[in-house]
Amino acid sequence: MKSCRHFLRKWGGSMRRSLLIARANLCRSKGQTAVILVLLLAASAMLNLWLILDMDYKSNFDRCHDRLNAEHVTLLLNSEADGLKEYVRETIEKDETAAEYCIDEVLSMVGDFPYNDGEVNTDFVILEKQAALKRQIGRIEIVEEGTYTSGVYLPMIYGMGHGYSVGDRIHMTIGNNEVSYTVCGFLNSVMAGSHNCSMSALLLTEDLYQELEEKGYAPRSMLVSVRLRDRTESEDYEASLKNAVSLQYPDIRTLSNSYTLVSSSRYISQMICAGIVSAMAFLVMLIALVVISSNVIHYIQENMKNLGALKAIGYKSGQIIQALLVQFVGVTLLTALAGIGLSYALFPAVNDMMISQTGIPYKVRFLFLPFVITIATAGGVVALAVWLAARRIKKIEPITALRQGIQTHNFRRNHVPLADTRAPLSAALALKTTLSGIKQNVTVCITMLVLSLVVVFSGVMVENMIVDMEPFVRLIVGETADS
Amino acid sequence: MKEILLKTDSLSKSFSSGGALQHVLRNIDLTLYRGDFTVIMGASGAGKSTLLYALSGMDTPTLGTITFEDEDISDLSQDGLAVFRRRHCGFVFQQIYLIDGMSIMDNVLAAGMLVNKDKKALIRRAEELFEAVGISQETQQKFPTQISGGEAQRVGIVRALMNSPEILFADEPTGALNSKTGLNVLDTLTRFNEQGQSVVMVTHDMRSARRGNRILYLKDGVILGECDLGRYVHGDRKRHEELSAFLAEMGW
Ligand SMILES: Nc1ncnc2c1ncn2[C@@H]1O[C@H](COP(=O)(O)OP(=O)(O)OP(=O)(O)O)[C@@H](O)[C@H]1O
Ligand SMILES: [Mg+2]
Repeated sequence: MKSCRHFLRKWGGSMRRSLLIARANLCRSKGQTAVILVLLLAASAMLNLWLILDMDYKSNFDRCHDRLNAEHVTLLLNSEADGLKEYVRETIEKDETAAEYCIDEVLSMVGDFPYNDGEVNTDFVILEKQAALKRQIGRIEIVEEGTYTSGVYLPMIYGMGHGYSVGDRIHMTIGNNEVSYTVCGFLNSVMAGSHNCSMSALLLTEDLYQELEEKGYAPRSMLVSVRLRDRTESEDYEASLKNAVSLQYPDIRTLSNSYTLVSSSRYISQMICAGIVSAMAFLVMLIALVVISSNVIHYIQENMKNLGALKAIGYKSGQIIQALLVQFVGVTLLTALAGIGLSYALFPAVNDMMISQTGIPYKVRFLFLPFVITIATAGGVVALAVWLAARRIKKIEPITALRQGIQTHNFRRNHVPLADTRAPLSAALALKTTLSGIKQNVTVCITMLVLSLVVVFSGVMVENMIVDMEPFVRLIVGETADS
Repeated sequence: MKEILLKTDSLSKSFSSGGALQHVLRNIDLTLYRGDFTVIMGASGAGKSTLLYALSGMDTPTLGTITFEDEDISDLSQDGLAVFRRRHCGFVFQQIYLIDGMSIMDNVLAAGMLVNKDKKALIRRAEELFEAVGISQETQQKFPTQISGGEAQRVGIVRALMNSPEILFADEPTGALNSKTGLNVLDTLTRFNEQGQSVVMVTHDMRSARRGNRILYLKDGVILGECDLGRYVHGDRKRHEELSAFLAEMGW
């Protein structure tokens, strides 16, 4: 207890001394401080955003998957052949891999409908609304609903941005036939929630479902949903199940997907986006570090006499470095807090764009771990940069520093000696100042260059990714799951 | 019998400049006593500042030892010297060297806070000293660039005395001042010395040197001679003549 109090007092004293020096420094370089603040703000906002995307956004898929008790392997059999159901049942039960399964009767057909200036072309899995909501495995949830009693429910991805709204009429082609429905609402299905899953679920109200069934536009099919004991086996199991069916029933058209495929394809854009955000965060952080280091080095050069005076009255190098650390780390921590705030202010907008890519709802909430990591990274990295740049203070001897610092000032060459030059005085003086500040000027140039690159790069990214993701994804991963 | 405060034993300092070794101080054996006002005189380049820096722990000697109150300070580390300086030495520079970004009060507190944690006591001490040297409350809130040279030098003295050092070193404290403000600074130093403060001062100037009770003459890195003037008394003509004679003898 006593030693603790002693420590606190000691710490308080050194803090106060540091603050005294730090305050003196901060007042002297407002412009530079502002640049550093902006860079750190941007870096920590992006860092936090990336951490949210990386640490939570992806697991949101699994949370959703668990909540709806979704299947790990989906198999759609476009047939009602005799004995098919029993055969599938036997095949699944024979094997230990499957934990539980269900087989539902649905309608299915290839179809398309207009969406965002183009059209969506996918395999429709059409379920009766009430039955779909009651499924034990692969439950479908309604995320938005109007008061209409007859119509269709679309995957929520088609309701984002410029998509459909409740009450709109949707004209779709099912097979070779045109139908037109009222949009009653939107649904969330983990394994059949967008064209990225290779099949899209549609819910029809009971009347329309019966009508469609009678018209025979979409043949009766079997939707097999299997939950596995170990979800990492989903791709193998998908293949073996599909294989078993086609051995016995070679003519049946089958359609399938797996947890592995869907989870990665529904998040591909997020992962790319997270990658880009992280790259930019690190780039901006790097620039901030260069600026901070050069600021510290510049500070040491400019304040040689003050440093000498501090040393002369008995300050240790460590205490002076500590003051610089307190100054920069303090400012950094505050800025990082603001940056995190900024990232949460921006997140809803980003989230909307993300949902329009994933089709899976995500609730923005405060995440503690990314918060801590962002603060710690920003603080730690800045502290390291300051320490590396400020280490040279140890080499400064008070007398040398007071005598204008003979040792560390060797860069102070006498550029363009006035005794020898023939240039006019004003030109010679201009050259002198430019050349003696050459290091600073180069740093500023590099910083501006990298900064403008980042701005252009991110502009192009936003254009490509958020506004129209598809060509970009194709470019990077080739054709994904939207067959 | 005077109490020994600081003692050097064949103190030497050399600088290498352009490959050649320059011996600035050569085997100096010197003893400083508590309560003295010691004055070091000598031609420019004689090594006066170098000696003062070595004695005050600002710089380390090349050879020899410096003993301060039984503690050998000649091979302390940089940090060790820093701690030594803050505890035992006050230093007044010719160019003063206040810290630009801090107010006058903060400049003084920055020194005090190294040794004392009690801020209230520090402020009290600072105000006492400021009053003693004639720095007003108003001036205490100004910044170093906003005060006159004479004021700045008195602030320098306050800063040097904040931690009640055993020795106050002053390197030509009046060198950058006009005669009137210089006189003011000298009076201040004399007053503190009369109250028991040990002072070591380097000067070029006879009028300043007169304030000391012991005058050392440095030439080419060796102490050529010394002269005991006794306590300073204002307007003492005999003292002045004694000093003139000594300096003439030294080749001043
Ligand atoms: N850091 C250094 N490096 C090289 N030479 C030095 C250094 N410091 C002092 N000297 C040399 O030591 C000699 C003595 O210098 P010092 O400053 O002690 O003289 P001084 O007696 O104080 O002179 P002044 O009265 O002009 O102040 C000078 O010739 C100077 O060139
Ligand atoms: Mg000198």
